[in-house]
Amino acid sequence: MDFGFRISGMAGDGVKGAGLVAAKLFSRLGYHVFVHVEYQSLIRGGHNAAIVRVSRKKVRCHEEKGDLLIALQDYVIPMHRVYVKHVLYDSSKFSLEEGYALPMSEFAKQAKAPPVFRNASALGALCYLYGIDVEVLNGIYRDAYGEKAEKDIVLAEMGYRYAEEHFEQIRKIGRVGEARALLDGNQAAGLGALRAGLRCYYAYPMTPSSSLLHFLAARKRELGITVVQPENEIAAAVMAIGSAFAGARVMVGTSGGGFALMQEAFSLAGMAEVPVLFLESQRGGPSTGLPTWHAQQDLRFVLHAGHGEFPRIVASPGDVEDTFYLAGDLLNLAWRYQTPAVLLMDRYLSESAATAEIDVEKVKEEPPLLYRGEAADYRRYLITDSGISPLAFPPEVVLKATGNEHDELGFTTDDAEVSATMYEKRMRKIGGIVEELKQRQAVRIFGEGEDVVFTWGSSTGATVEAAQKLGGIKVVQVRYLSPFPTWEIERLSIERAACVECNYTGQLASLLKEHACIEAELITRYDGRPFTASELVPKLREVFG
Amino acid sequence: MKLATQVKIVWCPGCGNFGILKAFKDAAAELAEVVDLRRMVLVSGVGCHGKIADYLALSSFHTIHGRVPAMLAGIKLANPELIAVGFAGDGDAYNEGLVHLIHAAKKNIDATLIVHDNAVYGLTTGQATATSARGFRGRSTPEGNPEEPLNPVALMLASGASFVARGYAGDASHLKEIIKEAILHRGFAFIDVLQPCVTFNNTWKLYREKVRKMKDTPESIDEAMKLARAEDEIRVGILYREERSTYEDEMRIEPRDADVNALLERMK
Ligand SMILES: Cc1ncc(C[n+]2csc(CCOP(=O)(O)OP(=O)(O)O)c2C)c(N)n1
Ligand code: SF4
Ligand SMILES: [Mg+2]
Repeated sequence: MDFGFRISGMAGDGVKGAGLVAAKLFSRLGYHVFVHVEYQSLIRGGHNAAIVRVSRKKVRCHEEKGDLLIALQDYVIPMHRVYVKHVLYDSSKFSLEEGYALPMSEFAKQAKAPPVFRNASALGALCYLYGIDVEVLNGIYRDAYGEKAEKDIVLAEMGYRYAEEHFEQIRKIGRVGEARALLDGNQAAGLGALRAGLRCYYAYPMTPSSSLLHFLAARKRELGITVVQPENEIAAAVMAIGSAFAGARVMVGTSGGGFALMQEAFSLAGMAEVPVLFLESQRGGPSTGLPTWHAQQDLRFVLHAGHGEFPRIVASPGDVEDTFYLAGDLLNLAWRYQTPAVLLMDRYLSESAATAEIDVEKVKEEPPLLYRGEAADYRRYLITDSGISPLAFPPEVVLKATGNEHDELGFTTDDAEVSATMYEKRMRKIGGIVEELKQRQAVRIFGEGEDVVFTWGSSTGATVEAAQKLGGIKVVQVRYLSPFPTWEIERLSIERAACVECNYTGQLASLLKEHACIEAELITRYDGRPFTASELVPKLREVFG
Repeated sequence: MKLATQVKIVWCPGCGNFGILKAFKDAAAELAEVVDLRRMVLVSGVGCHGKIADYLALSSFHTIHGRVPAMLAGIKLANPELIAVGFAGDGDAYNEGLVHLIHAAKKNIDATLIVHDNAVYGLTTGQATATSARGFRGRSTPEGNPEEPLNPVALMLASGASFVARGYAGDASHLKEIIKEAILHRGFAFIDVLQPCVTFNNTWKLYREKVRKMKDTPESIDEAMKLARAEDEIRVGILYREERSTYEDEMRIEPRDADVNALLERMK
């Protein structure tokens, strides 16, 4: 069983919140859900939508087609009407010739609640339409608002009863399993990093990374994490380097524009060998671009970020669980190899909520190489075979770090031999990282076949689903992008290849060509919208016949 | 604890930086009686001044141009037990990274910032900075600097720094006293040090004539502002100090093992 519905209105109507509560109705009954939100860069007016998909199977993307639209404004209806069979609307605000007329605003007035509370009556009606006990909804409100849930519950009941009297049920939904956790990619990134010992999070607000700043700030005491919004992105990156230098595990969150401002600091982390995890969630560019829409345009940017050469670890997760594990792994790897790492996310992954089964124990704080010798003998940049110099922190040792080229003690140098030796020491770490990635899952493979579709980031969801529909196609999600897992790619037996990604030039495709001489047929999209499986099916058929 | 390193000092003979280095060393040596110098962490910017990190056998981070205050904040947020002292240039602090300076003062991060204010970009061979005098003929302003100089002390008073001082590299013992007070101050302690650059902006004569030591710290911030802006003489000394909660007091959360399972349970 696979179905869906959507809620739409203007900014300020509480569309996203309502969508998440609606999704929880199903996840609490054991269904898998996926919630895709669309919104514009404005605070009031415009068009917002939450598109909810419900399934018995794991789902990693939304689908446009659904049962129902809950319309909170009349002007949004034409945008959604083609995708749904029914419309449930606020009949106190406008009237339609068709659909389920629910006097939502009138109910809110009767309950002496602010206008946005009308959503609770709509969700009450939704319960009835899907044959769900309204108590499930009330429970969600109670868990979220405690005592203050009273008005929501009153309205939910009003909506439910009204629907019972006036509407016909669409489906009858029963419990199919235990309640599932519902979270978005940003939250998963925060939690994964926390498991790996995250102590400080630095971020300047920028969509689509901001929701992680809010999530962690709201729970900082419970989680024992310092959360700071500094004066700008440069400060965020430099503060993070300062904190890591002093011994704390740190993460910095931003999007492409903010990451652009962090370049010099990124390079400093490479030179000074300071472990910092950067979360870069891509949105439509260039420049301010499509600030609230999806894109995968920054792969090349991140791979080449910062001036000069230094090891970096870059990985891009394909879904919420993957985000949790990769965030943890990257923070651990950054510390083991004392170099910057980037968790390359995208708007669709960051902001879409999905049910996820996370094995928290899989991520642990892995200790870095620590110095155990005499304090007086400490050499921060000791030349070693692995390129990794043991770490120690003040006040235990005198620790000298620098963005200039330096000797083993951390004093500035421009001696040719010392410079070359130190350069080689840093670059040797790449060899270790490659060996390490061979033990970790550098690519994820879905399905079997010699027709191979490559993809990365959140495009993985729709690609896997489309390939499964067609059959006989193997999907390869490239998780680690630097160092590039050539060993995994070369092992594949490939008849024909395609590459799915949300940019114009085919950035992953170009890497496949560069590293493994693979010519992949491009399937791209760059209109700010993510792929859905239904859209990809004909495109893959075109490539593979 | 020995403070000197093996590194050969490469400042021009007669450079004001020597006075700052001496004042800091003497201050640190005296402070060693009351604080553990192993807890001290220095951050230096990029410029002639930035080399000071190599000349001191204390923990240090020679960071990138302009970002000293941000790095000080990051260090203190991670470990408030450390004593953070920054060395910045005027180009560094008042041009490239001015935003960080103002916010460090506003936040009241618990750190000391010593600005080597030679009113010129030294290391890049003599261009005008934010504190260069109007008319200053640098290599990028051959017809004279058309801008009025910034008054950093007034700026810091207006930005909420809880300790504001002006020092003079030509009076190392007076500067030493200021530095000691600054390091012992809880909160953001700012010292603008008048530092002649013999090669690109030789202000020794000017300062010898105009610098006057203040006897006492002014009673009020208004009074401090007046003295900061006085043009007849250049007042050096501590212009302002105030006790206020620090940014780390407000923001730092004691680390603990987060119960991620419990949180996920609540996301059901
Ligand atoms: C981002 C960046 N821009 C420019 C430079 C080049 N640069 C090196 S030192 C310096 C000026 C230093 O002037 P100041 O901070 O006053 O220090 P001083 O040399 O006078 O002590 C500049 C612009 C740099 N290192 N980094
Ligand atoms: S150029 Fe100026 S500031 Fe730099 S070392 Fe020489 S005298 Fe000092
Ligand atoms: Mg200068």
